[in-house]
Parts: sequence; structure tokens; C-alpha cells
Amino acid sequence: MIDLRSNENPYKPLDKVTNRVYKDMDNMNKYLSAKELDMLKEEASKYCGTEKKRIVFGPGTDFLIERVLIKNSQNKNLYVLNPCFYSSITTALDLKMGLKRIQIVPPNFNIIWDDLNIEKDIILIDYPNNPTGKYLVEPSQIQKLLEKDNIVIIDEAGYEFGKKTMINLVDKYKNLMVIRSLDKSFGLAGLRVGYCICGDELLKVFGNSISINRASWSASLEALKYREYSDECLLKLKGERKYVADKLKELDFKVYESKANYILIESNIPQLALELKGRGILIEDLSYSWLRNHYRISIGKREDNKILIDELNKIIETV
Amino acid sequence: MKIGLLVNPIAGMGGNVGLKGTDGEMYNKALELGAEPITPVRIREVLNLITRQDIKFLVPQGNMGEDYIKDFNFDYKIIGKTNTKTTDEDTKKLARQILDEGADVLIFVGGDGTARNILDAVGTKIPLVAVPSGVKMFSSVFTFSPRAAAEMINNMGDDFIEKEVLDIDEEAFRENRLEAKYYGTVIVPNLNHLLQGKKSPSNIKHSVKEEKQKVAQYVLDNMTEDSVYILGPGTTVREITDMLNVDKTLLGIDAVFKGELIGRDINEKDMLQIIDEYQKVKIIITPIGGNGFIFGRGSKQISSKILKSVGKENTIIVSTIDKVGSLEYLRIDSGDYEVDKSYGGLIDVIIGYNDMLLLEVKF
Repeated sequence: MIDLRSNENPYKPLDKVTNRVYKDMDNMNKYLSAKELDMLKEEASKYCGTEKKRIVFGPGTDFLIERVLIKNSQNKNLYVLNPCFYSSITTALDLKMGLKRIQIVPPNFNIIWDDLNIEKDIILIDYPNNPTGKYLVEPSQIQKLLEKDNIVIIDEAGYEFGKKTMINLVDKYKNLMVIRSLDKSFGLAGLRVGYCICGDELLKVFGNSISINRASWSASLEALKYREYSDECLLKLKGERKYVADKLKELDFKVYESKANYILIESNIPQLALELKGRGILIEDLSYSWLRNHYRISIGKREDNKILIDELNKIIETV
Repeated sequence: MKIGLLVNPIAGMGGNVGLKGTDGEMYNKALELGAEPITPVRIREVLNLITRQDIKFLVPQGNMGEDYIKDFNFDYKIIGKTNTKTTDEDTKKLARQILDEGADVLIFVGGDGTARNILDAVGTKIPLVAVPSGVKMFSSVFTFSPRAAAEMINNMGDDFIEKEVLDIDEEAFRENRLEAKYYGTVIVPNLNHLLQGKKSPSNIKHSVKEEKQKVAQYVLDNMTEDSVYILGPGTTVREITDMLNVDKTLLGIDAVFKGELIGRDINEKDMLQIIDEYQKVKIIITPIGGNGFIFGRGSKQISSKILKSVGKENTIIVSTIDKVGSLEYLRIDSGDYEVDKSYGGLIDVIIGYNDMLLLEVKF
């Protein structure tokens, strides 16, 4: 199976990273110490250009989101965009929070903020947005929400692809949290490494507990040291994204311009995802929870992308 | 440009009085129940908003065309006449005459029944602009409102697309069975954003049933003792009455107060009476799958008058994510533009327990 559904990085991390993890596994019997974690925070703070004390590491972004929800669920609604891929939203329902999914629709996927009187609630927004690959909010809008006593969580898991960020607002707003990940652009999805940069109030949610493991820690530390390698991967992926988008356009698919490692497409071919699955390729079918005939395709390596295009060609010939 | 205009003066009359159509014998029944014509208002709204000047209308004499056009400053020609009481055959005959007179486009006002007559007479020979005014409007040929129809006429070019004419088996519909049938294809201006889209039947899957139960539970837990709940048609709404052990009609409108049924298969008049009698009235409705109409299609008994007194804040919309998640917008076409406007903007749709989808209502 070629997996173009999971938004993973198709390139493996550097051997240096893998070897470092092997080496550190010698200490598998030892808990990660605060001092060791601090080394990682140091590296991350250089990378993000933010204070070390604001950084919290955790096993994946959903873990970090859930912590915020658990500590702040009382009488609050959680606002997300629809479609929504966070498993943490079910936690919100378990916590008896109101879940408000704001439908986004083509062509511009605009959010009518003026109709939403959000106060003292929680807003979780991905930046860029999954699955559109677009930046759907302006920092000025986020500031308005922050000033109305809302907790705002900006998910920048796809930061490295478009390089737009709201980290610069964290010092000013105690109720803002920006989430990042080493899963995607650093290729550590199997280790699930997420981190967040927190405003003063949200920092208290996490306390001093250490919630990542030694393998994640050593891989992250090494990957952040050699971040030019991540840049190389991103450059290759951007090239591949253009290749896939151009080919899809030639095949008459509606392709939305993306700033991420996936693209949103629209196609009238009946049951496209199922058809591709039968041919050994997985893509994300958005028809069930969102708009019919819309699919998200993660960008893979050239050989996989080529197979995708070849199979699509064959499908079109038979329709 | 020559534009034919054909109005079915009795289309949509069954709606407010709780009938599901005015085809055949149902028309007399509608009259007995005090139904009033709808189409004159709809066509006047369209004509009022047509701005292009290069039009010559071809209209039948009397209440199928001339009666409305004569109040406006359009150039027009009479092409045939009918009796006051019009039939399917009149629609077909006049549509053919309009075609013979060399019309470039045909505007018609009616519902699925009218669309079928036009299909029989005109087929794909000329493009149509269909002004929605029936009770049922399953066909994708219709614009989503009279305003959209006017916009379509003002902006149409040479690009046309095929759309389907669907109608339901009326006998089955009155017996609580929903069966849509495909009758054929016509052509319309390629301005998809002005069309209503076709109704798609909801998918009955096991998980969907569970989702409906969660929605129903949430609604029940938030019901208050001091409010009357007017319940629209559909299986999602019926899940609520099932939980209350109340026998609801699947396709009609019913009313519940303190957990008891106080009205079954009620019409506009009954609802106005309820609004008069009780302090608080709320409406629970599910959008039509595929095109997202909350009011103005299907259950026409919930008229603009009713909506005006109940208001957006007392309107509870329920659905399941597989149906409503695929909608870009919800739509309203109550017949009163001001009422439609008051429903505009974002609205919560309950899709689970504590779980809402926020959609924009377009009018």
C-alpha cells in the first residue's frame, strides 16, 4: 500500500538521528531527567526564537491539547473548524464541553467571525489549515479573540512548509498557546513528538512533569541540531507538491493551492478513494464528514506520486 | 432576446394547508382548506428584479402570464389563452406555443409537477429558468429563490448545463413513503451557484441511527416545560418523538407540549393558533439533504408568518454529520425576503450530544 492519507513525511530522518537513538537506548532503564529535557528545550528555543521557559514537550499534539481542555473545561465551548482531524475533540465531549464546529466552504473557506460572539471559550485552529493547506485566520483576528478572554490554541504542525507563525504573540498573551511538532517536517511521526509554546497562564497547565520518553528526546535533540536536513526534505516536498498539483490539473481535477504537505482536490469520479484503494493507494476521503467529492492527498516521494498519477490516468480512461 | 413566461397559478397552494402537492384532485382539497395562490407573489418578485433591457416576453393570456407582466414596463406579446382553471395540458400546450414563437429561454413558475410538464413539451430545445414555487421541489432544475432566478436571467450567457427533473410518487408521499423518480433532463444557464441542487435521501446506516439518538437525547435534555415544540418532518426529528413515545407523522408537522402530542399533521392555521395560545413556541427542523433548505421547501406549512413570530433564536436545527457536513450552506426561501434575512448568518446545527456544526444560512 502507498499511504498518501496520513500526512507523513516520506523521507526518513538522517542516520545521525537514528544512531543517536540507538546509542541512548543504552540508558533505557533511566528516566529522562529535568536537566536532559532542558537541553532539548534549549535547542527548541533557538529554533523557535522564543524563551526556553515557554516550551513544553509532549507525546503528540493531541496530548498537549487534551491537557489544556482537561484543566479548562468548565462552562466552556470548544470551537474548531469542520472538517476536524483532532482526536482530542472527543475528549471535549467527554468533559461535557460544547463542541462547535465551524463549517468552512470553498472557494475561500472564510470564517464569518462577526457572526460568532465567542467569549471565555476555547478556540483550536490549525495554521495552515488541514485539509485546505491555506492560512484561514489573520493574527489580528486571533488577537481579538484573545482579548475577549478566550483560550486560543494555534496548531502550527505544518509551520515548516509555509513559515508563517503566531509565536511572536505568546509573550503578550497569557491565554495563547502555539503547538508545533517534529512529526512532520523532521520525520519523527513514529515517535510522536509535539511541543508547545505557551503564554503565562497556559504554562501553568503543564507544571514540571516530563511526558516524553528517552527515544523521542534523543531523536528530537539530534534532529533539531541538523535542521538543514529538514529544510532539504521540505524543498524536495515542495517540488513534489508542484509536480502532483500540475499533473492533477492536467487531468482536470480541481486543485486548491496548498501551503502544506498535502493538497485538497475535488473530483467527480465516483468513489475515487475506494477506486484508488483497490489499486493500492490510500488517500483521505472527506465525503463523510465534509463536502462530497473532496479528497486530501499527502505528498509522497516521486515514485509514489508517479504511481498515483498513472493509476488516476487509468481510472479516468475507464470512467 | 425572446423569453417565454409560464406561471402555474395553483402550484404550491397545498403547502400552507398541509397537503403535499396540488397535482390532480388535491387542488380542490387545497381550495376547500382555504389555500391561497403563491405563484403571483413569486413571479412579481422575479419581474421586479430583472434589470436587463433586451427582453421581449412571450406570455399566455390571463393568470398563466399576462396578469403579472402587465404591471411592469416590459415589452410583451400574448401567445395563447387558457381557462381560469388551468390544467397540466394547458401548461404543455402553452409551452409548445412559446417554443413555436421562437423563444430563446423559458421562465416557468411552479414545482416538480410543472417541471415535468415543461420537460414533456420543451425537452432540451431551449434553456429554462425555473422559479421555485411548488410544495415539492426535488428537481435540480430550480433556482434557490425568486431572487436567484432574476439574477440568472440578468447574467445568463451562452453556456448551459443539463439538470434533472425529479418528482415523487404523490400517493406514496401521502402514505409516509418518500420515493423520488427521475423523469428526464432539461438545460439551464450554467450558473450553478444560483441553483438549489437536488435533494438526496438520507443514508440509513447503523451508526447514523446512533448519531440521531444522541441528537435526540440532547434536544430532550434541553427541552423546557413552558415551550411548545413544533416538529418538522424527517427521521432525525422523529427520533425525538420516538424517545418521548409520541406517535409523529414522518412527513407532516406535529406539535408537542410537556412531552405530549398536542397537534398531529398540523397546517399553517393550526400553528398560528398555537402561537396565539402559548407564550413560547420553538421549531425543531432538519435541513433537506443535498440542498440544505430549512424552510421554503418540503414543509411549506411553516410559512413566513410562522417564522416571523417564532424567530431564529427559537429555531432548533438538527441533523447528522453525514447529511449536513456535506452542505456548504443552509438555505431559506420562505417567500418573505425580510424573514429570510432575519435567519441569515451562522446558525448551530445539533449533530450529536453537545456537538454542533455552525453553518451559514443563505437567502
